[in-house]
Amino acid sequence: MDTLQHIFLTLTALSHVELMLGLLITGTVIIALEGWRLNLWALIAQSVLVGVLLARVIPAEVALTKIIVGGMVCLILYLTARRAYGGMGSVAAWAWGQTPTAGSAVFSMDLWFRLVVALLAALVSTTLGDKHPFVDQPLGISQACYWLVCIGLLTVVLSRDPFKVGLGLLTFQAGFDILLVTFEQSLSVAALVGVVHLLTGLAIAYLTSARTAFAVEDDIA
Amino acid sequence: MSLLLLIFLPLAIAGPVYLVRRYWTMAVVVSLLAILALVGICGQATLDEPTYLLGRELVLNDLNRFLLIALYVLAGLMILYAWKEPQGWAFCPCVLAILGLLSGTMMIRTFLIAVCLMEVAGLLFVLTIHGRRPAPAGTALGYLVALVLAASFLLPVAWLAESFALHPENLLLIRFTVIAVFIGLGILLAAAPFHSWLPTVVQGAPPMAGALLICIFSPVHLLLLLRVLQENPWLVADSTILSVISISGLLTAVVGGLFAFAQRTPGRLLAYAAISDMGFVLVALGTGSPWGVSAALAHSVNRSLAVLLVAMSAGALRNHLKPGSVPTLRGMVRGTPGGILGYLAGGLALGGFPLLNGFATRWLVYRSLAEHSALFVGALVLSGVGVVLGYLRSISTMKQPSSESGDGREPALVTVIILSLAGLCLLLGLVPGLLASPLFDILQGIALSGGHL
Repeated sequence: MDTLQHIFLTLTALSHVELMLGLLITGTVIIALEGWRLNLWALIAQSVLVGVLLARVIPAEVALTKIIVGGMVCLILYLTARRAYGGMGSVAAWAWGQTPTAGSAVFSMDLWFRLVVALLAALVSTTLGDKHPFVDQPLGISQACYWLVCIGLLTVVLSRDPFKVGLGLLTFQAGFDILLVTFEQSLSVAALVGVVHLLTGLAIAYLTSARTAFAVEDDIA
Repeated sequence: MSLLLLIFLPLAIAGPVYLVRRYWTMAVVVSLLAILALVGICGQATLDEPTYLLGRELVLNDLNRFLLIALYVLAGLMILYAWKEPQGWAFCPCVLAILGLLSGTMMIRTFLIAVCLMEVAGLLFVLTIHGRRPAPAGTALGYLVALVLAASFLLPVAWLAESFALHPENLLLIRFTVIAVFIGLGILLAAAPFHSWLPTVVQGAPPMAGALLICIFSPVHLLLLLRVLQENPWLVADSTILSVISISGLLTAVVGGLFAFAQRTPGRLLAYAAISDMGFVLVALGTGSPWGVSAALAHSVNRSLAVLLVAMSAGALRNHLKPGSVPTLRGMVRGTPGGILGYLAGGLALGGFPLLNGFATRWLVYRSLAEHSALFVGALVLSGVGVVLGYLRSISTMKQPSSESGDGREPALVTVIILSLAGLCLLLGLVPGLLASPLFDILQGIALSGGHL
């Protein structure tokens, strides 16, 4: 615990520009890349960066708790993805085994398309953060909130796989979590929100497992 | 103390019920006993006496008690039905846990915590969507996305409201509050244009899971909306929120009625009929008068009864009609008397057919609107006609059963439950005062317009 706290305190020395850059990279990895291991690393890095950012608004202990909850969600998702996708390196590799839809043939949502979407989301969130910043909050808080909400929503919209949609939902929730702590900093609410995040992770894990298990059953039938 | 029991007793019993799920009868009996205990505790609890949970105030008032007991009874009927028509291993424990969490949602005074508890209940609901057979891909995911988006929009509502109380000159806060409420509760109540997730979920999930969503969750979401309006009188006085609710309700009723007419599958038809009915509830709530609020809540309870009736009947028909063996209506009535009669009665009640409970409370809604606009009333009547025609058309589909084999005869208990519910729908249609009068007494003095709270 002491080591964790030490690392955490070291990270709090990062400037808001560095933190925002980190969040831009992790968000782009989540929306653009298909490798589930890479996506999970991006999600855990995002949890840490959000926690560090929040430490400027709320007590460090509460921010650390949020990082631990994020880590637990990632652990749940890692165990699920390892079972569900097995040797396949990417979510897309599994999805490619499924029947392609007419829509997927018309709209090719490949890497470049997703990168452009991420770039547009970054522009929108930076502009929003500059024009409508949260009142009396440290620099970077509003930009981070807008960015995570945008990129989470776009990931949900652009994906069909439960695992990938789940990552989008968790990113979206992280964005709203930043907004929430700017006005409600009580421990009971933080604990309840942590429970909500954990259960969201469990629901995503359940749906990922169910989808792959039922797909295997269908193949056998 | 007794209020805490309403939350923690079902949560504590859900675990053991999950453990004994292989002994299905035992799981059902324990669940039913727990629900009976909840009804007893809720009936005996002292009204308006605060209890504290995590330092936050819990209060049971008349309206909460009325709705909680109604929800417990509906949940008990679902579990009794699931005894003979299993709905998946997770159904009983999840229903218990959801009841505990929704009780907390209704009683806790802090809106933020209420939203969190409601979201946790919704996340548990995801486990019931894959029943004995896997639901189609996207069914549970569609619900999960809708829930997370809606809850995220609702979380800042209380803060926005408090901020406006401190800075009344900042009109942007009112606008943000209305948008957050409109999106958050619009998604949860499946109001147009946020309704598209509900038909997917009801079509793909087991019948009782769909019913749980519409009959148990919807009234709680409606109560959250009522609370936002009651606790922030300025929102009603200084904003256009009541007009937004009314117009959204009208749109919801019309869209639901039109789409219901076009549906062939029982699940989607039920979902669109329920969406159309929610439109009526919102239109009544949008009037802001005590009469309108009472009509909205009474219609919400009637809607729950009718939806449960249709869901049970559709489930019985799906499970017990032998493929190709019932080309005539008479054949269907012989094999599944409860199923076919309940399906028709419930469908007609949802469409507001005279003599059934749906009509009785729709009449209250029409009366509360009469002075506002004849156009509203005309559009609402037409939406009801769409639902009734949709159900009459779907009977022909019922005569071509699905490819799943059934034993040809529904269990006697299922017939009894369905016919009792159909009888109740008829009784409440003939004597609407049984439901509307107590609600009107409870809500007397609550007018959303004019700031009388």
